[in-house]
Amino acid sequence: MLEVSDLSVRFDTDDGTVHAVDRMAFTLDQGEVLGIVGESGCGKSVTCMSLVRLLPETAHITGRAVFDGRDLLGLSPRALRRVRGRDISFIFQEPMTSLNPVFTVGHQIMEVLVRHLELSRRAAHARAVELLELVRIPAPERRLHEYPHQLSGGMRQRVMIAIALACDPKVLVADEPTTALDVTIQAGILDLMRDIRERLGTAIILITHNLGVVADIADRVIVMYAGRKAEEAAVGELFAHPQHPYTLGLLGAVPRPYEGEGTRERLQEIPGRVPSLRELPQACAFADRCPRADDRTRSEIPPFREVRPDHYVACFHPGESE
Amino acid sequence: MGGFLIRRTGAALVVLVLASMLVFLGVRAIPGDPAIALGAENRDPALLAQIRHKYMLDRPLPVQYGHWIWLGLHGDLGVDQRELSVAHTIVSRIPITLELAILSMLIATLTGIPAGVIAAVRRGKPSDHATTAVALVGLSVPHFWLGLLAIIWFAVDLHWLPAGGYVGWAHPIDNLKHMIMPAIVLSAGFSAVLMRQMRSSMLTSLGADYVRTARAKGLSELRVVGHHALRNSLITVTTVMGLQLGALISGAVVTETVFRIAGFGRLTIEAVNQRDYTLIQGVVLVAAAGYVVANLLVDIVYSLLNPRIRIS
Amino acid sequence: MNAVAVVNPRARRRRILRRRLLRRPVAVAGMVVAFAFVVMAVFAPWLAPHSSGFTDFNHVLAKPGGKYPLGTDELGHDELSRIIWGARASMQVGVAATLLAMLVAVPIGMIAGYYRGWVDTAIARATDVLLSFPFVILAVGLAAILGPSLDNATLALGIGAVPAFIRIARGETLALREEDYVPAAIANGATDRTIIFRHILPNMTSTLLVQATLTIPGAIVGEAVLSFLGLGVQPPQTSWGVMLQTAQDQLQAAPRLAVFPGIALVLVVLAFNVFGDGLRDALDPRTTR
Repeated sequence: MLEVSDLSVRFDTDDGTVHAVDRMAFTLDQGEVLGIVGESGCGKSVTCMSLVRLLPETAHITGRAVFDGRDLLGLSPRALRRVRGRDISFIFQEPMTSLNPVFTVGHQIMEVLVRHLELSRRAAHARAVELLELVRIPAPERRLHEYPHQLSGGMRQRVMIAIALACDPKVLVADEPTTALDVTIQAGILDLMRDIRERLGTAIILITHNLGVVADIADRVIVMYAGRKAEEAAVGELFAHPQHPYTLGLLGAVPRPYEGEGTRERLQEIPGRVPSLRELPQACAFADRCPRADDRTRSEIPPFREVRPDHYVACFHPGESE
Repeated sequence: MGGFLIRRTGAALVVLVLASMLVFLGVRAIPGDPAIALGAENRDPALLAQIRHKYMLDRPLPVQYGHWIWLGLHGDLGVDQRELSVAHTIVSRIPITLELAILSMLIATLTGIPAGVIAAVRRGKPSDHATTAVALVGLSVPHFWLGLLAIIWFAVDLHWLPAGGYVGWAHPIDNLKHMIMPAIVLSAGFSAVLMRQMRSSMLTSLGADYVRTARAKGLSELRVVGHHALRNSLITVTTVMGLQLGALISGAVVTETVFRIAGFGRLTIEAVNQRDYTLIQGVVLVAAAGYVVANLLVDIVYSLLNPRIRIS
Repeated sequence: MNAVAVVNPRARRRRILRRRLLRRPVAVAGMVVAFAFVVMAVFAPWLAPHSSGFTDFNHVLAKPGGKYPLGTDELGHDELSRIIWGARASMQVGVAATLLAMLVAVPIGMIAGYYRGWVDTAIARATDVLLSFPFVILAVGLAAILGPSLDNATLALGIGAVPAFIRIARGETLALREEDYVPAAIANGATDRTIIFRHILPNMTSTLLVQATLTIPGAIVGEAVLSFLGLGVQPPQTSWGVMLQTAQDQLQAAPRLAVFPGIALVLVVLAFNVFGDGLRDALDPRTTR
């Protein structure tokens, strides 16, 4: 349904060019949940926002993103606006600031319905109530007339989801949807998203730096590092047999409850820092921090290839152990 | 919202009381016999005694103050040099200045706000630099000079508009002809400030997350800017209005002097030139009180517009 | 570049400031023009062709050119000389009012910001009361009590500028008292006064400098307004405001009398405003140039 190939995004800043994304490629099937994982700044948000050109004017996007037979990157601004909010929807990290404080919740939901589906006010109102019920907000009729500051963080995020689902989109991009919420609320939101996938068949791209969230609801996972793909596999396969040293590092850094046997494992940090995105190194981006680095990784970009059935890595020394 | 309003009204009352005390002490600070200052310019002994009795000048200061306020609240602001009721004079002149002020605010809003929006939307481009430069000039040019120039150009040279004076509402077109130049001149500074504030506020709004959400919803750029961003910015800019009203009052005094309009502003200057202390006292008190009340009204409007305060 | 110059933080900051300022040609132009006016004001007695009260009754309302490059007014005063002398009065009032305001307002603002609590509230209320009088009304009141004069105009303008300086001094103090060196100084036994004057005050000088640069033009225009209204400089002393008042009476006969003082005012105000804006941007660590 969605096929992205050779996607690169660079930003022109006062201090030079920043290469945020370098030749990304992925596919998304109907009803699939794809998790994109990586630390801050690795390009995961930029990748998805570039699909509908939600980036500032300083961004230059190249490549192809074929959605339903059309290349999104070649669409006119008008055509693109018909895709946004209707075929591809977004929800963002900060529900408090992502909703306009001076308009009611109802207004902000109905706005999308009127714009894309051209519903009458009454029809839009009824559908808005339906949507609030869909995202499990109690007393939906009353909520429609309330303002964002009157709702809790979890409820605001649900409203964002309601807005995103208003026109029954094929793809929902969730950019760090639970990061700003309490852990207990997180579970509720993830539950909701699972529910949505099952009931409505919406495909979801879940962007996060939290592996726990990914393990919870994703089907496939892509691990990104410094604007490039590091590893890609089905979720079970990735967690059971991680291949890329970065993935291993990420998994090693996940806190695990102490089960009472043997010594407690120390949380492992990955030493070093993400390389500056101002140059596109003609080498493995992870080389500086990788325990397996050698001359080859420092001078050639590792190709993205299949090392296990349906499990791909960009690494010269893939493998499960250190 | 109730709590906010009560607090603001309370603060305004405190300020009003303190300001009135300042005026009261000011009059008492004039060198010489206060009785003369308060209305007996001709030093007629009978009149002096009458005034001393009326204002309780032989009693302690706090009593005097209380009585003076009491009289004032009942509309008695004393009698000026020509033995006309100060309150009556003031009341008859205020509508003229009010008309000038309202016209100016209208013009300033209709020019400053769109200019600010355009400058923000086209940030960094020539239209932004041009509008910002015009605003800077608008802020720097003393508007009474602008008034003089306008008179020279439109009245003396071109004879399109009258050089000054005021015509009442009985002749609306004439009235407008007399008011249009003063109103535009008075609006210049206000408009420049509005433009700068609006630009700054729009830049903040346009960078906010909810604008990103609005775009992600597929809304047209016009709606994103003109509906989502604009509403937030307009509300923010309301808070600026209050301070600007003070500048407007000051400006009205000058504008009325330049254009020889017999309004409340001009009254202020006439009072000083004539050393008519009762009139001065009344005028200063009314001006300060009016300003405080106007500010309070702006606060009320703001609390109604901002949902976070209206429903808290 | 010797090692000492590189290491000295104050010198380094000054160098950076100079470089950043030079990248803003408009601001530099403003600075030059403002400085030129200051020079004109200071050296007026030597620069003006005639004294301020000089009149030539044989050449009343003369057109510009010849003996009187900018013409004369209805009493035969040389306009050019009056503009130069006027610069003196305007500068004097502008700078004096600003300095007066700073001397009074900055300590008050610092006290409000440092001690907070009821002191802060009281000062805030007092400032509100001051602000409740629109500027011209305030000047009218002062003129009524003290009589109109250049000094009283300076006083009125100074008082008018006080609230802004209080607000800035208070704001800066509130922020700066949270810096780490404050508790360190307290631990070393420093008194409140030492902390305020030796630690906090020096760090707000650049902000105060910017505010002063932006207050002076307001004071200059304010003086012109007050003199125009008859509340400030009194004849035979002259200022640009007084000249404009005269011009108003001569609007039909000699409109040019209104032009020159006004242009002078606009130039000075623009110069200071543009310089002040540029200075503020150059000092702001957040701007990149």
